[in-house]
Amino acid sequence: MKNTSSPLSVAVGKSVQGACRVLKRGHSLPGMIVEKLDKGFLASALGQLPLGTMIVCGTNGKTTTARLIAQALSSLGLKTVTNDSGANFTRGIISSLLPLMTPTGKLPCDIGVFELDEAWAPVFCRQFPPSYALILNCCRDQLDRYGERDAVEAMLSEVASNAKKGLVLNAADRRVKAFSSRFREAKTSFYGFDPSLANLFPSDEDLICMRQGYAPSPQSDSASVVLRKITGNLATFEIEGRQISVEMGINGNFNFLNAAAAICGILNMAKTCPALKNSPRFKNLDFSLEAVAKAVSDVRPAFGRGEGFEIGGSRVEMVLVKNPVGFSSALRSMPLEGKEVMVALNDQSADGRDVSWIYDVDYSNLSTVKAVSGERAFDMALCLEYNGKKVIRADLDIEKSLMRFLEGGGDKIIFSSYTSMLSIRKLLLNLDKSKGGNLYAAD
Amino acid sequence: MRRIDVLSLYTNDMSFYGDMGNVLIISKRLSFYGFEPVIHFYNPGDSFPDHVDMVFGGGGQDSGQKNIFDDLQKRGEKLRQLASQGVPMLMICGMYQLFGKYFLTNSGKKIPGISVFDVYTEATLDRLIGNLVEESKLFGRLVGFENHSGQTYFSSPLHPLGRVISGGGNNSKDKVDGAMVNNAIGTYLHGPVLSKNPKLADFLIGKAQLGRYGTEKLPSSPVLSRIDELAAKGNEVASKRPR
Repeated sequence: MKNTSSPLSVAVGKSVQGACRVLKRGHSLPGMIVEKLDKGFLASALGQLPLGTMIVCGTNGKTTTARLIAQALSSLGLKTVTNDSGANFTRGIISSLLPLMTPTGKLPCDIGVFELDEAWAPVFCRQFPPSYALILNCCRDQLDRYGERDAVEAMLSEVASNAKKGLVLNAADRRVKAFSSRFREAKTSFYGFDPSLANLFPSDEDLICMRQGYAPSPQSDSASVVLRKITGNLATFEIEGRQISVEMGINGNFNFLNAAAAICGILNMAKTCPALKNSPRFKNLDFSLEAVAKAVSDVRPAFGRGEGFEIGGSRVEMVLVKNPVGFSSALRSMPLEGKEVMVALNDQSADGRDVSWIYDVDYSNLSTVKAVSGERAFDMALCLEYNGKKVIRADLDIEKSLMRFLEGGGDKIIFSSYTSMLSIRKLLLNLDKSKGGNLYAAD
Repeated sequence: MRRIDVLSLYTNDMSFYGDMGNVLIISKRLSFYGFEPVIHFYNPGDSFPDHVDMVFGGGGQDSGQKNIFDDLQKRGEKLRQLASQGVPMLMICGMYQLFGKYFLTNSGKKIPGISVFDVYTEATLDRLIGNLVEESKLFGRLVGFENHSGQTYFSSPLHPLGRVISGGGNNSKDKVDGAMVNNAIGTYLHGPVLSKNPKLADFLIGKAQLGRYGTEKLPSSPVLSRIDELAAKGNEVASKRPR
């Protein structure tokens, strides 16, 4: 194992990053240039980490889960590097490493936690097989961008096969669960949910079953971390047989399963990482079940994912939705009573140009929708009307639509596709005086 | 109430691209027009309903097409018979291909279809993906989204569903999309196609009413005027979006 990266590559990367900051340009560009210049850079940098690298993959929940793990590990006492900007290609990961690296090419961190785009995860694994891989789910998603689900399943399977020490799988996703039988080397841990919560976490198959009028048969499998019960923001996990209840810092019940994934991931790492036990630097850290659950529960939401704003006395929540399972699950797990609802749908390439998927969402928990906006506002409004939901107003102009939506008091919730989320979030940050200064922080 | 029996073919395997929306839209429009829609969801091994007024099918993954192949062969004669009787049908993408004569795979294998449409499809390595806009004599401007690697050609002169204004359609050469035989329509338009093209939906409903009750003209529905206004705006927007 090399113990530094090329100082030249680091110098180039840092210079480009400096220039990008001045010009307010792309986050991924420095990483892209370094990747072109130095093909072994990723491996030389990540290879230095004493506790290894954990990657988080799957259709829904990557950003939140990677954030839960990275922040929890930091609060448990590890120096953690992560791609929290949401840039989840290999170049985005390189960009996230550069600011932390020394001019001599050292990466002075303990562990890396990275979310990876499904298509880029195998590319990453070929450059640097990770110590740990956590795979959340495999659902139908933006078919014009990612291709069919069978192809994504094959990519995720390749990722699972590359995990060297630990593999964490969702026992309730039958495709993901099946990855376990194919690999021996890594210690495999499973997480899941109690059958009584099945309604909150529908699969593609469940949605199709319900559309045809028959009840889905929920998967119930043994797992080392199980989300057992949800009462308000209090989540009860059964962790290795012990019931532990924690108050969650993130909202949206669908995120509580991501918390189970995060707990499972951290415990898997703690068990299989010899350096964590043997090195004097780490041996006093507390990785007990309670400490891990507490650390995960204290994390705040990732941007645009169940994020809250205070505007003119109203609480405004934002939920990113981008595929049938994600949207259906969000609708089932966010309390909607007494809240005004807005839905925004764009069709930029980052949203997926094909909006047909909105017809496969289960809208039964919605009633009236006050505002529908985005480039495909009329498609969305029409779909809601055909689903028996009343739409008060549909308008292509996001800013106009948002301002009208915010008029009048009361709590509000916005479900939005990716690029419309970015526009709305910018507008909300300007309006939320308490966060006004952070406008460019997360871009 | 006047009942209309709607058959949704192979929903488990062939509703991967949002085409189930067509069945929802037809069901709602039937209700708005005062019919009693009865939806029969049919999957491999199920018993075939006694009476069928309309038939729908959608796009699936390659694995989905494999799953339904044997069952479709068993139902081929019945479906051909319904089509020749004038039962309205709407087959999207994968089911359009399987309602043709055959599909030629990349490895040169010929997979037989059920020959409702006199078309054949050849696998290619480059997918036609993007917004698809076309002009139809009967239904005006049709908009939707295509995503297919199979390219479809007519074996004999057929009426296409529309002339392509932008996008691919049946294949990258002919500048037409879909096929119409009696009242059976095949097309590559997802969207789902009926969402922003309500004239097409009403054509199918009118033909179903004609077949079962002897008249084609639909009653007026006040609810639908608002819905169709949204559809017209959505159609306008979609026709101008980049590929």
